[in-house]
Amino acid sequence: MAGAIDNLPPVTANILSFDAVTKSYGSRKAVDGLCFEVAERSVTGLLGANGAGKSTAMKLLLGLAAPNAGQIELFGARQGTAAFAGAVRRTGSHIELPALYERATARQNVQIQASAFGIGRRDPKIEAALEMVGLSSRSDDKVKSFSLGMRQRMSLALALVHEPELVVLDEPINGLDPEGVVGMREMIRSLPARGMTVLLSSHVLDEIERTVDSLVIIRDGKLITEGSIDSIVTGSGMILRVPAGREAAALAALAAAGLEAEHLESGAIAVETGARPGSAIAELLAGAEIYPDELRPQSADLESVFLGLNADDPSGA
Amino acid sequence: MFASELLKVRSLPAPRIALLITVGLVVIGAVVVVIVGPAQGTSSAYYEVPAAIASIVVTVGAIVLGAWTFGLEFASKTLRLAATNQPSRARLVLVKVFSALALLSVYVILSLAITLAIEAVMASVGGVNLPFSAQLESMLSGGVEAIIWGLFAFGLALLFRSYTAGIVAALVLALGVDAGLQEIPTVGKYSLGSAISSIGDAIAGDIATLALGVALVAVAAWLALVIGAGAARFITRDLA
Repeated sequence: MAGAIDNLPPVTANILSFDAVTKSYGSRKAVDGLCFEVAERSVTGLLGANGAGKSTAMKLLLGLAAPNAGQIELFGARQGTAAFAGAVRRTGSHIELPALYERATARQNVQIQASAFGIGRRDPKIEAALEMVGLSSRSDDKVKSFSLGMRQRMSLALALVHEPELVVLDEPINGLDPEGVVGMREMIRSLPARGMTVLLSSHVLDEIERTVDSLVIIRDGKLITEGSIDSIVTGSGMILRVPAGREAAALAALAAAGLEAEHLESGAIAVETGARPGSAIAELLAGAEIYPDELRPQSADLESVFLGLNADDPSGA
Repeated sequence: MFASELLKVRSLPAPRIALLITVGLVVIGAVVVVIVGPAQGTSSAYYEVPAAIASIVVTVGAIVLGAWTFGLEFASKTLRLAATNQPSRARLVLVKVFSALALLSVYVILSLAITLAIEAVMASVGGVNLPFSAQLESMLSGGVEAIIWGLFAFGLALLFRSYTAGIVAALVLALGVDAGLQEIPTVGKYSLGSAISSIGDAIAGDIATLALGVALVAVAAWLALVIGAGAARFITRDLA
């Protein structure tokens, strides 16, 4: 398997793009001029408050709903063309609540799903999918006896059994116990190495932060920000510590250079550096004969970034 | 996609239960006849009672299974899955129509074959001769009628986006409303029930209200209307 991964082409292409996509239900715009892209073999998080348009965006890309305006391109096929249907078949999805045949067993559910993609009933992929979601031991049990967490995992087995190139997961950790959450995270993180791309939404910010490579944050159906997880959770400022008694001089030097700086209660200085690298700050301070003991990027957690971006949104997170 | 539909039929209990209930009711009817015994001069009841029960139950069973083929996806909320597995909705409807036709045919043939075997046993028990070819014609006629009702129920389930609504609407039409429609002067004879009966009568060699060709056109028009409207709604609207 490792050899196969080594032979995969480098990550360059975007396999999904939303270009000014709008979807209205009556007078309400569920998605409003939304633009974002998803890179091949990445894990991209779609983040937003309830009703922000995450599920609608996912339904649009799967062809379950048609946009009123804008363009969706999936694997190079434009929405509305015959090729788009073929592109949708290259996806695997779990949208909102698990949809399963209650009176069939777990294995039968996977077999039914797999057969839609020409995979035989006894194909090893069936057992592999059940194994992947930890349901091998319950494969002969009827789904109606399953807990919410088990249904969630069943739904994932259906999304993955045909080894799709794009996996679309809407709130995949709902109903999972802590062990299940860890297992799910590890499984999702392993998918790009198998050549799959993942687009997932979740309300659990901590989990999103640990799982995704890049983020698309939306509010009221509009894009708020997008980028790598590092670029979003890392602020545009730096934290520095200078020898005791030199704080005032440091603040003055920074102010003289036109930089906003603040002396924190902890004794450190937070400075808004914009695009300037840390070396430029160090050089600037050295010019004033101040040599910082510590100089590091100011980082924030995703929760504070998300809440900050939604600060003027009354619904909050 | 057909393989997937076949697996649903094999894996889910509804088709098996429909067949078991159909055969069970025919057997119960036969047992009652054996226990009670037919009235004087009506020994043909030994085989006619199971046949009469089958003609009604098979039609109801066909309605249930016809509605089930598409209604299943609404009832189990698996429609989104089916629609992403087969994103061409027109093709998905076609696959479902042919699946319904295949399922209904197998159900009707199995039910009626078992009923015919029970009739033969009953005729032997009652010491009467079974008019095999007449019974076969009658069954063939009833079977074709049941399949058409089943396809109509399929269309109603698709149109109403509900398994239950499909069954209820088809039963209400088959068992009640259609009789009222037939009373409408001039056009009443083109009601679905009248047209289906005419096809059945033509197969059984009985006098029919409509000529076979006219009846076939009327049935095709009814099915096209209901399935077409359901398909148009399914193809053009978003899936919530």
